[in-house]
Amino acid sequence: MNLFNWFSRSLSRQVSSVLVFIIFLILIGCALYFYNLQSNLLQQSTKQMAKQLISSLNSNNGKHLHFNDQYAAWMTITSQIENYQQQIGDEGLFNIDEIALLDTNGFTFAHSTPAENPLQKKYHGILPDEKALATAPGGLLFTSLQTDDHKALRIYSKVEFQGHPVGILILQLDLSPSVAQQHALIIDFSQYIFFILLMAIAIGTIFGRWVSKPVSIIEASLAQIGSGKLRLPELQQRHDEYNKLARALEQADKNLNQSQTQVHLLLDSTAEAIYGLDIEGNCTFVNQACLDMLGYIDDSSLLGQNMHELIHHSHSDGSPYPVEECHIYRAFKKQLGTHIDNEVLWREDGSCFSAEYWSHPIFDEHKCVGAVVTFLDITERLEAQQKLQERERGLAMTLDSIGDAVIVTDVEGNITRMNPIAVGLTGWTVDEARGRPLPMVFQIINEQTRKSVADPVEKVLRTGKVVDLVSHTVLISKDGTEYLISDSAAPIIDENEKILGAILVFRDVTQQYQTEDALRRSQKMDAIGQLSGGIAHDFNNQLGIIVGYLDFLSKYLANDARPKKWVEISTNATLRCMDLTRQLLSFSRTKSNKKVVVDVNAKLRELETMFTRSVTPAVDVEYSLADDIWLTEIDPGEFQDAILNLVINSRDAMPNGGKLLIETSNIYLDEDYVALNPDAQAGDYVQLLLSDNGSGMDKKTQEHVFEPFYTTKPKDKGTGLGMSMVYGFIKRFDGFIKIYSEVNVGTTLRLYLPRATTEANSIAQQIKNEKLPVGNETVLIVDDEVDLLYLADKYLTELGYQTYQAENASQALEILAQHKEIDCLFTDVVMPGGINGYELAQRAIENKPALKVLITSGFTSKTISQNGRPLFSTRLLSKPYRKADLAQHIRLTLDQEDE
Amino acid sequence: MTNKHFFYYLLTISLLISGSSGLAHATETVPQPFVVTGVIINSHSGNLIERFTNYLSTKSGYPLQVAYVNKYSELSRVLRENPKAVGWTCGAPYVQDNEADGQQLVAVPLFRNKPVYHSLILTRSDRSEKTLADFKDGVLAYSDPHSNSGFLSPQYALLKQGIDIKKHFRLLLHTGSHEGSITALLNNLADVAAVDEYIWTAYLKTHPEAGKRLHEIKRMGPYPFTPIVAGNEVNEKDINKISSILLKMNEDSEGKKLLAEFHLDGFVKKQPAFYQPVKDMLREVNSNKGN
Repeated sequence: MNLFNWFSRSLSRQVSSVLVFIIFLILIGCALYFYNLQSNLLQQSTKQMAKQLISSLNSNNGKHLHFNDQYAAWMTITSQIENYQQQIGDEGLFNIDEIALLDTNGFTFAHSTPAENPLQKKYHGILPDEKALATAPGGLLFTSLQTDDHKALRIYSKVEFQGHPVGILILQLDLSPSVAQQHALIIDFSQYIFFILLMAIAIGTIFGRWVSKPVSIIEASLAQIGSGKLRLPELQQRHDEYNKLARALEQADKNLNQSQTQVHLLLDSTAEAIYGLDIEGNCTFVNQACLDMLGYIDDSSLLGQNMHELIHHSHSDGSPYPVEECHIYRAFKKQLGTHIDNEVLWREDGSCFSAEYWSHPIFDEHKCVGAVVTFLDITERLEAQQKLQERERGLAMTLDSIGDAVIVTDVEGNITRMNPIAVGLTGWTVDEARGRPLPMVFQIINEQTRKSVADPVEKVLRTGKVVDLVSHTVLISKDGTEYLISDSAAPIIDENEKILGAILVFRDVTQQYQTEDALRRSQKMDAIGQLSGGIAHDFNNQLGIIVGYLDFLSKYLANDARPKKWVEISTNATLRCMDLTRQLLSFSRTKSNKKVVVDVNAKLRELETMFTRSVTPAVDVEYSLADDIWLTEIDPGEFQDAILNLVINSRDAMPNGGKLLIETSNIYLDEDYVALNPDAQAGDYVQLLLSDNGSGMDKKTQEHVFEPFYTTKPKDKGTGLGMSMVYGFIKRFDGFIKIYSEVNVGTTLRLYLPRATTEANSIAQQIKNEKLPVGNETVLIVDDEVDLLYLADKYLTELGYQTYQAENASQALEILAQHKEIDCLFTDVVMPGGINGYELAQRAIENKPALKVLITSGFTSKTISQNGRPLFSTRLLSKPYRKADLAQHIRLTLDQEDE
Repeated sequence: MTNKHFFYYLLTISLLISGSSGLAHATETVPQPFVVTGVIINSHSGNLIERFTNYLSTKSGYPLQVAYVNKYSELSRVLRENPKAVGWTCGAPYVQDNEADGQQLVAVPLFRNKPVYHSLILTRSDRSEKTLADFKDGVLAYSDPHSNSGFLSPQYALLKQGIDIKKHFRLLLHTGSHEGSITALLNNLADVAAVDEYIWTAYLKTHPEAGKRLHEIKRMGPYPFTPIVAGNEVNEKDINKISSILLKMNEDSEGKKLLAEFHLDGFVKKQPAFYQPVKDMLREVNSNKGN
């Protein structure tokens, strides 16, 4: 307790202290006055004695100075000093420091210490100010000074003889005795003051107690205030104001007691537990609910106790809960309220329960005097919350496990939940999307018109009915990726049929559509094949009849040249129709009659002469046949027809000459390839490639090239059945064909013929066991075919590479400029936007010579080399490529030393 | 005025005239001053001079009474103005007064059984000067400007070195007595002092510590001792009476006691020519004053 508190807590002390203080002040004043008086007296006595001394000295020294009797002057000085010492003994007010008698020239005439101040030499002590001395009252100039060890008084006096100045007398007095007397005076006064102060304290204490006794009685009685039993007989016997005060206090006690009773009733009627704290954290009141929740019988166990130590001492796990960390305590110290719902309170029996509590400080005239704490047992509520949370968790897990994308909105159409599939398709994280309107996250347009599609959730919330999106809806993700989606939206309705929100379910059907497209194309081709086959079959039969009867007729007209000629022409035309129908039948035939194991390389070699004769001399036919080509089971005759047809098509595409490459290789097509090429099946294939640098085909032509009768050649140059015949051949032998063509660049046809099953050691298993080269470099993938772009990204990411993607050369250049860490450029050749893959690579290397480049194309490396682009011809990965092909080519490219 | 009153007036006048005559006649029984200066006495003399004077007076029948003056010039004046007075002067003033006023030589004290003494040049023991001349610009303490040992002697000694005593020192401190000169030395008033050997010897007996603090750097003399003299109207008979008493002082106990207190061995009769050396010094010093 500090001094102020000690003082302020007792009226007796205050009165005593004030009284003592007043007396002390008076004493101090008196002491100072008398001290001052005594000091003045001392000073005056000192001066008086000094004056007498001066006067004595001056009475003779004038004569001595006049008559130049220095010895006599010195005798006078020394005798004066001796007389003074004899006169005052140890009782003097001063000692004589120095007596100097100077002549008018300032030379020492006589001195009390001639050893230090030789006679007839310039005096080196402090001389007086001449004007001050001249005007000094009584001709005496007094100056005070402080020597090294004492206070001194220096007196200057003119010395005259018969009215004429003859010199100056200097008397310096050591005031140490005077100062010592003053100090002694102070000590004496201090002793008197101390004694009197003790007396004052005693008087003040007695008086203070006499004054404060009635107040003490009242103070002691105040503890009973509110009890209704306060009585103050000692004060009521008095006849002064204390009597009235006593009566007023008794009435106040009675009123307070009644008021407290009402408050207690009110507090006990509430369901919430309430208790009060004083400034020390001790309990001042509790209500019944508090007692019940804490398990106490009555308030006696709580009142006056420190509530933190009693009910809030530990955390739920039993670890100590220091009061300094208690929220109630902290808030209390800052005179703030607090609200906590995640702590426990402890009952009387040692058990605890979860509580939600509020603490409010109590102020009395802006000073915090305590706090009121209200709390509830929230055990049941927490259990209910936990169940609800578990249910929500289950729901969330269910939603997250759904294979389709799910977005849930509130009744305003703002997103409240998204599952991971939705996050992946929209490109928005849950945190980013939560609270946003659905259209901001779920941006959909019509695939064909590219116009925005109406928000399905808005319709759901408005109508309360399930809504399906129209087909050909494209979702544009946050990064601009487009997904073909199908979806539906439904309202979330509670048991009261109130709409709480909406749920949107959608899926990426891009691949599905592609597969369906391929299937439709295949089915279309099958239908066309069936239709044309059916027609051709019937037509062929009729032609056979016509040819037969024409043959008969020819025999009858053997001697008639002109009719025989007509019959011959008709027969030739009919045979030609039969040839056409045969080709048509060939297209429509699904099964082969003749199937043998063939070495396609050997077959090609056999046909080499035929191929050479089939093309113009300007067409250069080149062969690149794999040494270890697998065998395949096909009809050699049909194979020959098909290849010859393709060679002739290439010739026709190069009217001015060119190059035709025939290449064979073994290839394994994996599941990923099949996913993008629904008409293919995974497995080992013999790949036969025919690549020319002819006029090429546009996309539209490529889509119809295998349809019967579709041709781009002039009417008389083609029937439009050649490619359909090749298609039929391939299909009959469970193969498939891929076209890669660019207008004015060329065409590459890849025919995939299944590997003969009689051949052992499928490389599929080898490939599965093969350890792919990996890396962690950064690769920029550029391809305008988005599916291939993502496939390459997927392959490279799985192999450990960091990737960036671009759909055209301009995007790629921007990305290269922004990301200097890119190590390799993996780009398609032909892309829209005016810059092809070669030009892109050239520009990229100019900006970063160390950049590695890998080209991918449907054309073969030989074709590209023939097209005059040898720089990148050795870094070519032909499409389609497997993951292993990409892994090996990327690794080789990155490991290749700079050229 | 009535006749009665005139008679009484004449009677009064007659009585006054006869009283004056009687008074004049009674003058010869009035004590004459025995003049002494502070030069010759010291602080421990006490009433020695009074007792000595009474002794002389009683023994010689020539009534004497001590008269103290503070300088020889005053002594000379008293004897001049009181020609029947007796005094104890110094050699140099006697020589001058003998010439000027007919001062008479009565007797000469014996100091160490000789009627002579020296003039001592004293300084403090911590001083390094060796001669009087070394104290240039210092302070010379002297007893009396007419003192032989106190002033004339050092003056003469410096004159012999071509030094004017009045210019050589920054201050000639007149102390009024040899003891004063000693005191001045001891209290650093003076740097050097010329002191009567007789006084110095007597001083040392009562102030032996002074012998450690002061030391003698020069001894000048011997000079004729300070004489007992009489004014020019003291008749020969009285002079002889006084002189006889002085000469026979050691023949009676009181005289011996007095001599012992004076630290003297007696007195001797000398002729004025005994003081010729002093006269010579004076002449030489005075003749140099005009230069």
